[in-house]
Amino acid sequence: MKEKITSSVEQAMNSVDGMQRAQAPGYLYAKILSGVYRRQTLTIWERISAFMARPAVTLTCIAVVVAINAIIIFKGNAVPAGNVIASAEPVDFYSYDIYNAENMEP
Amino acid sequence: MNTWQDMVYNTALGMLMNETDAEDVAQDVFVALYRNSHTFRGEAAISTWLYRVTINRCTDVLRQRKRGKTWWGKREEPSAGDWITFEHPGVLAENKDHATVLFNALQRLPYHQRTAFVLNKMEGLRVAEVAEIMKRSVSGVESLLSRANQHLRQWLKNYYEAQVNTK
Repeated sequence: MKEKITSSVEQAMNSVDGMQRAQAPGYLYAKILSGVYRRQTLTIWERISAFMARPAVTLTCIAVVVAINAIIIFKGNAVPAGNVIASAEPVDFYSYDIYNAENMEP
Repeated sequence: MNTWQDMVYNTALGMLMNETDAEDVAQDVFVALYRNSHTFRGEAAISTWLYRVTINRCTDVLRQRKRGKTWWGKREEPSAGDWITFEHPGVLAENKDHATVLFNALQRLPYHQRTAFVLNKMEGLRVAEVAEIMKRSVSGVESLLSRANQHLRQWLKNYYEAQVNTK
């Protein structure tokens, strides 16, 4: 029984020896030409949308947008606390009006 | 063109074991060739490039099959691991039954081992040529082929043992 199994394994392993190359079906040439023609006749917008639809391009765009957002958020929060206090001078909003502003002494 | 067409189709058929998928891959490959035709210098470079693009495209299809779906929905083709009844038209009539079992074993191999096996055994390329196509060293390809043979033999042994036990 073991010999039979070994023989079957060898026959299977050797079954592709001397095989011929599979010939492409006759209509494949026409199919290829139609693919090339479709490629040739793409409009500029179809080309752009095909480019944008590539996963690599889409993911890169998303990553860039997320990175820009992250930079804006983290840079906005990164103002040193000392600068904020130094610029925060007390302002009396109630005594400041247009009349006073226009009649201030030089 | 006919030689290249058969070359690409046969490689894709060996990798995918499905005629329709092999035709689609061949179409993609030749459209890519048309787009990049200005970059080639000689015929040798074209055949190597064609093999490389074919293998890459086939690997994409195999990955899609493994995931079981595409961008637009579920695939109906069998996933790796299912029993396939594929018959390669170039196999001799007396070997067809054993070849079908071998193709079922072949579809369970990792991509690189399957690629090396298909290019070497089914396309009849020398190890050095396979190494150039796969961008690997000759010893690397020899190692892949050795592991592929080992895995195939093991799977075939288990299969035939199970067949004998069920009788």
